[in-house]
Amino acid sequence: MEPTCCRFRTSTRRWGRFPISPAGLLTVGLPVLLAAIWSATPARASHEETPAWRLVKERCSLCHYLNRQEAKFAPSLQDLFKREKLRNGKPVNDQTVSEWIAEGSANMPSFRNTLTPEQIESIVNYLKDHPPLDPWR
Amino acid sequence: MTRNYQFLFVFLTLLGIVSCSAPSPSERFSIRGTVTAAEGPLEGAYIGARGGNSTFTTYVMTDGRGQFTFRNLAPGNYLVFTRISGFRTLEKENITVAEASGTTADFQVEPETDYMKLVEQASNSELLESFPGTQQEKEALFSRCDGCHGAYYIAKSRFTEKDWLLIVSKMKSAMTTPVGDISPPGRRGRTVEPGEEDYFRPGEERLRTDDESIAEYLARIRGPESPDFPIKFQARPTGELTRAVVTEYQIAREWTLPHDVLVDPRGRYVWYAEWRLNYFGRIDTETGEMKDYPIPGRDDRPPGFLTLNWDHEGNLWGGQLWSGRAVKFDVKAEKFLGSWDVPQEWARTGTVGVCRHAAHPDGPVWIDDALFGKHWILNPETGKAVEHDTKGSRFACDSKGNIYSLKHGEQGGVIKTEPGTRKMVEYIAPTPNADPHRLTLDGEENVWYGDWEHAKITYVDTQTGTVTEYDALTPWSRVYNAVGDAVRKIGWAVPHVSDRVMKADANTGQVVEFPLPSKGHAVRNVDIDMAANPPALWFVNQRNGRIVRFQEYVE
Repeated sequence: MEPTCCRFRTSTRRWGRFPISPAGLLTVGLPVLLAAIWSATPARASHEETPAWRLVKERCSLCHYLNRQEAKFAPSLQDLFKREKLRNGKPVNDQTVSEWIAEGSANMPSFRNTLTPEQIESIVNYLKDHPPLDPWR
Repeated sequence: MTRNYQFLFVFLTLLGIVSCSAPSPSERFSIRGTVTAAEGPLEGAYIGARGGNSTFTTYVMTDGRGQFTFRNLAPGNYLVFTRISGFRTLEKENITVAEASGTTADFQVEPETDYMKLVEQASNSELLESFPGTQQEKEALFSRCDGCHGAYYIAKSRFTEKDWLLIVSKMKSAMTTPVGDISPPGRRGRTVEPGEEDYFRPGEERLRTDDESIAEYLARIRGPESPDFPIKFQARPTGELTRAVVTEYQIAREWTLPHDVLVDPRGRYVWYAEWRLNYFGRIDTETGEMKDYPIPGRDDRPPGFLTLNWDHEGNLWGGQLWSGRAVKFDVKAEKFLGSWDVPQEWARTGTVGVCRHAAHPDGPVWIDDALFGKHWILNPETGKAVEHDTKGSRFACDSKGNIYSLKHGEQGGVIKTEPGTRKMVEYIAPTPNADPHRLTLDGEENVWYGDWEHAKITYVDTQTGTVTEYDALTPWSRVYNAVGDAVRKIGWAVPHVSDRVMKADANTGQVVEFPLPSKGHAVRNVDIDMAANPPALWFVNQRNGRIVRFQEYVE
């Protein structure tokens, strides 16, 4: 038997017949067919999570608020790059923040064995450039 | 030949040119192809298809000959890709589907060798099965961590024992509620002391769930120098278990963590609530359009909702967690109608129950704070919420006004409370210490619920009073909620992180499970669309911010 999908007994919701009449097929279907063949547009979805966002969500936000001043399990990361110094006294820049993520601290695990240098760079860029988020994150 | 017939002749000729090679409408396919590996055609392999910029992706599986078929896709360009555990993902872009003719896309797949990609392909259950260590060590981990985090976080990490201890010990601080969310400043509990870590499974002393034991185990399996362990994937499905179609709708919002999903009784739309944001969302199942509805909440409280329910006028009610409110929303007018606070600062009012058939005579709106064991009955007209005593939590209401709620403990199960008299009838589960989490009523007003701890679908026949349990097949499962198809006498659930759909046939007692194409579901409630044929299930993929539709298909 031929493999099939989506041939349901009665429901036309979502999986039903494509609602087009024969006249519609002639007047609409043919141009659509030709247009579909001639204009090969990219099929990528534009609204999926970015890798950087996913890293920040999974690796930072469990312990840090990103847009609230108070501490969660650890100090807030809101406006991190607008601060003069980190808590270890070093100036806030790409290198010192990357080092902190890689080395950790007394209250933060070291991510050097978990994240690649490229992933750490990606997190730093996100923290530096991302617009404000919902205040409870 | 009249002019009309001449037109018809020309039309039919043109139609024949356009569709001369197309099969009849009932056999029309959009995309089909074969998936082959070195060992030959692959059965039970998922293939996805997503239209350009579409909000949703459709998946089907290959049959015994390695063939897949997408039918009735809208014309356009598609990205078609493989999603097969253990194999590298292959993509084909710009696969063009025309109205009148199908197209083909064949795939020759090779084993995946990138370890982190293999981890991403594994379900929570597969990772736990693959972890080195004893059953007891895994059970301790499952008890202590898995309800919130899932095994993937562990599998993707490498920390020293000192750092694992740092991470694990934070989970029992006053910042965390027993249900895993962050306590707001005004409602902090107390930090659990060393030696008290068994709070998820009190009394099970054989499990070493203290911080030090968990950290030592984690450092052994995922320390800086631990060898990568081989990942044991479950066998791909065969035969009837390959006959499913899955549609995933991607929510575009950052921080999305969808919780409850409900099918609109008027058809066409599906609604969901955000767990950590003050939003409702709507999916148009005909166009795929997704719409957001911001809902007011207290600015000084964490945002988010837990339950959604329909009232007898077709309005949606949501339990707004830390805002301590019940929220009413008019889905026809797409309008927020109001919210009502319970008379308690820092209430966590996740569960709001209303009756779908009529306003309940004892009070239209029932609100639970399950975390602190408080219950209120709300009259929205007066705005008054009165505290009441009940043995049960959660809420389902039948057409006679009987309220069904869930009861934990040694004699756990379902409590039925009759309207007016408040007379209670208990349906006790066969398994002691039942852990029911959410219940639904089927079309014949029998109760289905999920037993979280014991990973069961439980079915209560309200006519005979019999209680029947069905075990999930996949190890390391938990079941939050279950729904029933009263016509076919079938119960459905999507166990929390097993990434599988569970089907329990009450006629035969047989349980089967279908795999899902993606991982990270963390499913809470499941709704069933009985207007679809066969009925379709709706649930969330929480980690990936998606709303998922699952449906078996018939040939």
